[in-house]
Amino acid sequence: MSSLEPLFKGFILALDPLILLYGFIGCLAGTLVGLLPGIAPALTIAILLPFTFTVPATSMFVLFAGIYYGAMYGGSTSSILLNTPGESSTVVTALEGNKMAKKGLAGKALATAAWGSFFAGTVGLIALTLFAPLIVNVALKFGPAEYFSFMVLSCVAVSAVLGSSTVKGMISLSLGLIVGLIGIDIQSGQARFTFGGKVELLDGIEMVMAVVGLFALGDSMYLAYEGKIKNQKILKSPKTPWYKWMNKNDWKRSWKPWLRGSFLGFPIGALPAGGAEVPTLLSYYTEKKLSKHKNEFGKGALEGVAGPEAANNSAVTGVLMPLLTLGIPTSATAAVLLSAFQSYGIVPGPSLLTQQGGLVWTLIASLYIGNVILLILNLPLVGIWIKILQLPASWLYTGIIVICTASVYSVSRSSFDLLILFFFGFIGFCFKKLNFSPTPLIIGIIIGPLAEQSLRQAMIISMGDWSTFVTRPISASILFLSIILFVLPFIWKIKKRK
Amino acid sequence: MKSFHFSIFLIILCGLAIWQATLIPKSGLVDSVGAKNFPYFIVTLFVIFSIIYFFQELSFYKKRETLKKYSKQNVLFFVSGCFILISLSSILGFFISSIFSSILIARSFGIQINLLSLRNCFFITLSVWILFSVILGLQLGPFFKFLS
Repeated sequence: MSSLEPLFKGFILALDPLILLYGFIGCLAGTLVGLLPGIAPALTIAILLPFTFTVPATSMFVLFAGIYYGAMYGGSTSSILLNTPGESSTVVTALEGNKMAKKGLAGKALATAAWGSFFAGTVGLIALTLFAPLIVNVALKFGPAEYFSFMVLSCVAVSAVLGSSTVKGMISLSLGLIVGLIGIDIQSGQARFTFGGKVELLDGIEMVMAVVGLFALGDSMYLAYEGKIKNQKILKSPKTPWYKWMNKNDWKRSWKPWLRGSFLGFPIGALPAGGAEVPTLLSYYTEKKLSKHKNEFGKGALEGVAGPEAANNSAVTGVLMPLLTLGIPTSATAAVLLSAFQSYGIVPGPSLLTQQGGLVWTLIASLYIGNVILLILNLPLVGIWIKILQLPASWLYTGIIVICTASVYSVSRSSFDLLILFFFGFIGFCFKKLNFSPTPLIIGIIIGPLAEQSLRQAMIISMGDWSTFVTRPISASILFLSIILFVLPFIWKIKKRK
Repeated sequence: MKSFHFSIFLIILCGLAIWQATLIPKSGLVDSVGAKNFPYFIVTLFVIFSIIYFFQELSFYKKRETLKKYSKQNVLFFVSGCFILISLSSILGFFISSIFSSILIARSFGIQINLLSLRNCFFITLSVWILFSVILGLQLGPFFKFLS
């Protein structure tokens, strides 16, 4: 399957003025989301899920893509100027970027972060364009057994490998899987976990409630509990024009970290438990080792901003690979995007690229365009973003909660939905306070029903023979890998104790 | 909320999950997995890891810190705000109940309750209501539910 022709068609659709407007709004909202600590892109996309009932799929996905990408750009600005990473993956940027800003080199840090994000984002998109059809060709040969094994791998990787503890990760995941099963079982028509057929629960729990509750309410309640909401001191943006922020030497010092970051970010991001945090850290330590200016690390090194920022954006594109080709989410945002696909009645997976090719290629083309829009938004317009950061934080968070509750209430105007929302808010607060990761819970909600469906299909095909999962080579290998990933943290802990 | 208390909360959730799993009726369809097996497996997983967590936390229970007074107050304001929204939204509609709720939530973030904060909460809720209901076409219900 050649990818250039459909991509070209995607560009034609993405350049439609209305679609372009959605893309621009998405980039704008994404940058804002990235700037504000505590608001994840997953949350923003979840808040917008009710609009899937009224807005066409292509426009909505272009908007979501803009938010997803924009958050990564915005996160670097708040990391550099505020020392408050808006995103967990921009923590490394804050390490060096804020120190550079304190030395009066904010312009250099902002510019290398923005150009690096643009460069890596484009490299990641080229890789996505080239490799997605190849992966789809392989994935089309997979049966339900392989899919089920892939989902097991994704769940194990996200809950057991990432996060502070395997036990906490597995609790989060299994709770998510249970929540995902609430409602009527499509195949048998049986009501499950509905407390005696409670009408409000028959359709299952809407993704927007879980995400908004866990991320927005949980985090806000935690901030209230900590009593730490106060406006922080924001470092000023440079007075010189943006195109003069980097000189020839800075470009020379940045391009290699950008390249290395891009190549580290994409493949790791595309792995089931990749995410964007691991590649940014890896990139930081790689640059620290390879840099000619080792003494600058810890005091504000340009390479320490350039590499991780590139890795971050490249990984974000990598996360789209398993989502668009296999229909498997590997991050909270990807899980919410998958839920958005389901809202439109689209089944993500290998058939997505063939059956909904127009939508997917428009989405990819809009990401290319979004990259350019974001570069413009984040370099010349950085002063506007700084003004937003100066808004009183207490009122900002109050406003966010009103928006979040309005979004959930608008789904069915039910007090019961608000009750569920606050239940997830309480869980989110406890998770935040006790260092549980909410990502496995979100992934569990979306993967639970899909995994069960694949399991049932595999069992029907094998005429009830459970050994189908271990006799098929690909499925067996994936399950074996899952077991290793699950057991490894325990062995590691035992070895450490010794 | 201490981790030990959360582990007890998880055990209660386990009890609920087991109770609900036992209520799933047997499927009439010929299906080797059925509607029960997958939920049983997931609930078992949840129970096992919750029990492990409970015993882990039990051993650390005495070392835990106590909550600060202001934190408790803030959380109380936050929860009250949420409770007001849940209980009043069906009677007064989203707009009015959200104003009352947001005052308490703003208080939990350290803002004093006075006419100025009431005005701010009114305008925040009004802007959100206009954005959702008028501009974006998502229904938040009537402005004053009790009048309609």
